[in-house]
Amino acid sequence: MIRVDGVSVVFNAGTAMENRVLSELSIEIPSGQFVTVIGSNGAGKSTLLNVIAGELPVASGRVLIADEDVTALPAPARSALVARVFQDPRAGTCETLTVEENLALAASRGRPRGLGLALNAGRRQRFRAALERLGLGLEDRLGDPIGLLSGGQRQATSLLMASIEPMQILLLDEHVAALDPRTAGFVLELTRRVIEEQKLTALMVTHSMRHALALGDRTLMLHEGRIVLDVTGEERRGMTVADLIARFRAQHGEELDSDSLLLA
Amino acid sequence: MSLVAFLGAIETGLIFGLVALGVFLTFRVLNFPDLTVDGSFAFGAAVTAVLIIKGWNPWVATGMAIAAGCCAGLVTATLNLRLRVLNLLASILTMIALYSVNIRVMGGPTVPLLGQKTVLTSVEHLGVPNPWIAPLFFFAVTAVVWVIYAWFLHSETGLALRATGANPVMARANGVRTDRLVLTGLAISNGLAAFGGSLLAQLQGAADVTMGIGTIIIGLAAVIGGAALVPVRSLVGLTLACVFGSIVYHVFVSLALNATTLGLTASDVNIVTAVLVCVALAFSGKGAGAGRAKQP
Repeated sequence: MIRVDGVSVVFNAGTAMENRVLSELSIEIPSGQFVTVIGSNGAGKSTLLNVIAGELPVASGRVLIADEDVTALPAPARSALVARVFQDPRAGTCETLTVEENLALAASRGRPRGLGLALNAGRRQRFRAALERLGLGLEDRLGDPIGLLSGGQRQATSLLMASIEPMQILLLDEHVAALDPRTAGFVLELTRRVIEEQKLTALMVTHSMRHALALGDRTLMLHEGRIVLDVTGEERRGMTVADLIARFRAQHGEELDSDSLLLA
Repeated sequence: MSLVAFLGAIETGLIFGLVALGVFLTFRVLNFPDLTVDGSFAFGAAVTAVLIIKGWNPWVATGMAIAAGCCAGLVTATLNLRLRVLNLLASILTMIALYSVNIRVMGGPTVPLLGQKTVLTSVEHLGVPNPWIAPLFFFAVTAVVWVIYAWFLHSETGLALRATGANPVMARANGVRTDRLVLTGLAISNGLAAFGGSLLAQLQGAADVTMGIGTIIIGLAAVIGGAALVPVRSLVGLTLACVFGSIVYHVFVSLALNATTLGLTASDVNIVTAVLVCVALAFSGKGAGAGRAKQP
């Protein structure tokens, strides 16, 4: 279970540029739940992900993962609990390393690394089998630098890297935003399959209201650093993008200002 | 060029091959332009010479030199990571400081080692004819170091180190404590440079405070020139190319200095090196930074 407890994040605190990005935000995500998060630019979506991952310090509040208070732990120390797929395919993989080296790096996430060889026959076999299930033919390209792969192939590999070892929560940061629509559809379907098969707890940030409703069991809408909408279960089933906008308007009394949210 | 001069160039080439492996680790793998090696090379020579004069076993003295070099690397890494000093500046600060440290260690600018026991005298009795003993010895040393080095780069820790240099955010997301790996990388790199300095002092029969000047450029010449000469792009290939590049560089410089028609003297080495590095950079298309290749 993940608990974010009254977390505030302030950029440039104490200056004229002070910017409260998250404002005493609290959520609880039970194990096995797949949560999608939407919100306009600057709503605090990525900041929430960075807070859970440990890349950003909080001004106040606590973050608990599986009943452990991780608020003070930096990102590498949380890596046994948190796995991440980034928006930019180049950010989540290391292009100078080969496909199998990238996977090997991820396979040791959360464990001490020694002086034994990073790759061996057993690991290669495991990686080959995992890549085969993607159906992209990557199992024959284990030794290629990952920089030679297309954006979609790299993002699919990133997802595999994130899910190759057990974790408490999978964070997906607009991970299909940089892909063309067809590839995005493929990676989203793959995401749904991986999360379902491995019964993962996941938090997916997206710019698309449609994706947010099509995937997962619960949808959060962030606005100015607060959760303004939290729908799940019966209420969420059959909900359309128009319903979502209407709910936002009714609860918040103001128009959505982001065209990108409506158009997506 | 005489056989002795040629073998001499091979010996120095192999010794600087160790430095080149160190420079490859910082400039190419970690993306950390580290000039500390100029200081740690002479530091290795100074520590070795002083300990040998004091009657220490030359192998132990060499080991202490490597440890001293590692410490120099740790200082640079700490300046960068803890005090947030720009990496290049941090390395220059350590390098400058080491100049004074080296004079303190040696009690003066030079320590002669003539007639002392060195690592070379310990292999003299093996029965190899005289002009061959040093090149074969240094070949063996460099080969052993290269094997350990190549293994390390392919180990779990080595992979984490490579990711730290190439994509630190991704490395951190995968649980790599990038700070520790920068420390490790700089320690190894400067340990190798100090090892080179230690061996060169024992070969030449003296340690001198100025012997480190230009080490970084010679190392870079080997790394960049080697990569330009050897077509293999694999990691094993690139590391072998460092050693090969160092040998080619020293043979070339030796040829240039020996060719009386050119009228060059030993003091012209630095400009010859600088020109060589520029030429190699121009042909390898890597640009001035000597960092990672940037695709247009």
